[in-house]
Amino acid sequence: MKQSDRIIKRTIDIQRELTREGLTRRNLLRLGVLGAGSGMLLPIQGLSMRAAFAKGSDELSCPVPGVGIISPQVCVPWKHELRRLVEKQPIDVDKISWGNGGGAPGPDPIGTLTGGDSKVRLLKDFSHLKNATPYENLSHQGWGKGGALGGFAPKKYYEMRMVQGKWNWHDDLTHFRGDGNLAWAFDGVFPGPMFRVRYGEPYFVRIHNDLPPGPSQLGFGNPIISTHLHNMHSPSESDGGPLYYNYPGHYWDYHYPMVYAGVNQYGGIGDPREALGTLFYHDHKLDFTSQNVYAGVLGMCSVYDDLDSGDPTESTGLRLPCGEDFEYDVGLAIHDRQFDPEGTDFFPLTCFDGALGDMPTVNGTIWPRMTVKRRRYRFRLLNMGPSRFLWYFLRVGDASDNPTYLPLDIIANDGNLLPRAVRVQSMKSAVAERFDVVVDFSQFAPGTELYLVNRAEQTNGRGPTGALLPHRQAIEMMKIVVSDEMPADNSLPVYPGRPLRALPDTSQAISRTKLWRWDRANGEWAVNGEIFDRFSKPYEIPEGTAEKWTIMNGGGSWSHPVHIHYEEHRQLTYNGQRPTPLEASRKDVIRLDPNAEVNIYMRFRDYKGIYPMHCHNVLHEDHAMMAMWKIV
Amino acid sequence: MQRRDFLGLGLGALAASTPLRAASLPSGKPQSRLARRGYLPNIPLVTHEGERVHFYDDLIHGKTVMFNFFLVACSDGVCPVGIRNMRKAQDILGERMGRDIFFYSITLQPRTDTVPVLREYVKSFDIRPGWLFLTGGAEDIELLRRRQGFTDPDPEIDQDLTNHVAMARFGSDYLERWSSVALRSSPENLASSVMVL
Repeated sequence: MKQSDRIIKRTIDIQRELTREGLTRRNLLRLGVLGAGSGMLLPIQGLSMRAAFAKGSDELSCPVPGVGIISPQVCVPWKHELRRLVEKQPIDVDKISWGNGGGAPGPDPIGTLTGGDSKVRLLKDFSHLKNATPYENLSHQGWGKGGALGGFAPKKYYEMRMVQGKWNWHDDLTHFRGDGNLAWAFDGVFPGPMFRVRYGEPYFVRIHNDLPPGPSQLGFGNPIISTHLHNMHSPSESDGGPLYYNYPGHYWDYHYPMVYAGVNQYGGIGDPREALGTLFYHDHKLDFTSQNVYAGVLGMCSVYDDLDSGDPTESTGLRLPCGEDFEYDVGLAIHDRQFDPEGTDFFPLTCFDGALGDMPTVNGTIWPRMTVKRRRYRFRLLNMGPSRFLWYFLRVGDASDNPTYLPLDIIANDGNLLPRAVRVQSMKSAVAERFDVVVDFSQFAPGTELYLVNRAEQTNGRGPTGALLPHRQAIEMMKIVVSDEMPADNSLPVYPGRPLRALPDTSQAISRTKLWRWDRANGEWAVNGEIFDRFSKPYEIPEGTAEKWTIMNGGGSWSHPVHIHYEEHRQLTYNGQRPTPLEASRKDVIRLDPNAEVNIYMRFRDYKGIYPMHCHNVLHEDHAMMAMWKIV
Repeated sequence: MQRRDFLGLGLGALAASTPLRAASLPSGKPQSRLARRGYLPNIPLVTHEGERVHFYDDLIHGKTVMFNFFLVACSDGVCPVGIRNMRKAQDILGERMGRDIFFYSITLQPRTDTVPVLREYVKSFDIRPGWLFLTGGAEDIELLRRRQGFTDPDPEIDQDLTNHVAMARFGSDYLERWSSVALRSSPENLASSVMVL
């Protein structure tokens, strides 16, 4: 029997034993599933196994990791050094490819039904989208137009290609399979490249869709994509919403004016208090978002300005950690992945609840190790799901019954610098929430080991139970090893209460209140009783107004991270309570617990057009948990 | 389940734990990945025209499809709305229906929704060719329902026929693309779903 067949058989045998005998520690040890020097690890870290079995483990449509499906138990943790995201470089506009039938980058789309800018073909297939933005042909609102909003021609140009290739999640998995795993990747890397952009520097990205148009060789995914930069203040035609299809063989031109929200109200490039920071870009194609993001259509983007300066010398603005080539400004894209016993990617195509995986990954590697120097780092933590809720702790040393967790200094929530830094023991993160954390490793001796762990108990895709995993069952995601290098650190320390960025004032009166009640009936998600329909008339909002929105979770055991595009919101109350200091910031994701009711303050400013609001448990999103609104 | 099917699936625990004794026969066709993993079981069914078919081999393999679960005596009002929307989507799809796009509606009450009952239903909704209404063994249909995720985590709600899942699965077996759409959206929305695959 081949080595790989042996491993598959062993995995299946373990599974069968677990199912038949129930789960006791003695059984686990006897089966050799617990540690025991074999290099193999408990594949079911963190799950409350009794709970999983009690509910029944034969639901193939939503297999519980470690119960209904187990990834091959071959990957040695902390083997690979963390992959730093590739830094995206701008190029000369003359070098940008015109594709097949397209044209030079410009304010108006150039294309045909078989190539060039996808907008041309999209409007032929879906002519009602002519009314989606102020321009019938989906021209860029911010480029080559008059007025306060129209004159932001790009100062930088980028080109990116979405391609299919093989990805190495971990040497041991690739060796086991005899090959890498098929994936879809921007510029061939998973996650895609890190964009570092700046307010006042409008930029342009042409995204070529080079995916094969035929059968999805991954077994899931749709090669029609739409790339959304979450949560940039982008004109609708560049927002990458669910209806803006970028077809294989075509490209989509995105133009980002790089203005703060409030251009009409404050003039110039808007209100600097509305600055965004840690963003990410990902697929948003209607009905296939979760599959496409899982296939690899995702990347990160960091936004800078005078205050959050992105200065290698760390001598200007807030003097946050940066360094040469952003060495100390680190994007961490976290998601959990599931493989079948043969090592092929598994996606639960028939599950309406959500997808969980037993292999934690950071920046495209299973269980990476990060070596850090003895100085301050800024970590941009991104929970990419698809459905798992995280409860971040940074543990010093190995698991024990009484471990030390390092308090975390948070400087940004959903990419927005807080008014003052907040220190927490831990933070919860729904899918799509981001937290920027500054950690000072100079306090640790060389050789100290820390673990970024998740202690949110979650047994199915619907949401976390709300309980903390016991210390020893914390899900370890990344190991950090402190080296003996102590380079110069010109950044300023972050301490609790340190002033960062003032909040915008919310004195603008509310024009209207709106209730958005998310309900489940007959297995369908509905908003205010209405089913999402791509042809429905969106909820219209006059430009420049402020509204109070009540977001209500209509019941059941589901948790929903609700996300609204384009503008950040301010949380007024959560179940009647005022927000915590951490959540009194600007945000773009609302972590909606079962039966929760949240009031938010939001403004709708500057550019006009349609934008979505949806659940960011991306599997729910694909089951129509979405509504469209429109600035008019 | 046959041992052969057990090995063919990528998920070993399935055979050990599935309590249903369904009569899913080995497929005679080369299977898509979704089929190999057991999500498109090749169960025997009977069409409203009385023809015996197998789910994967005859209805799904190589085709672009939309299918849902329903019952004739639908007391929550969901089915007539859904069926009517599918009927209008059928018109929008025109000549493609029955050529490369196929609709299927499978009863959740096979004991009462027999072939003659389905034939009447088809007539009353004026269903055109390219759309089959199907009945069969209760255990077989239950297996398909569970594999396709048309379930509720609450066992009581799950067995309650007055509250069943009003989504339709759509996809292309050949292209290995699958998703779902709400039946109570609009006919245009349903038709668009299968057209943009």
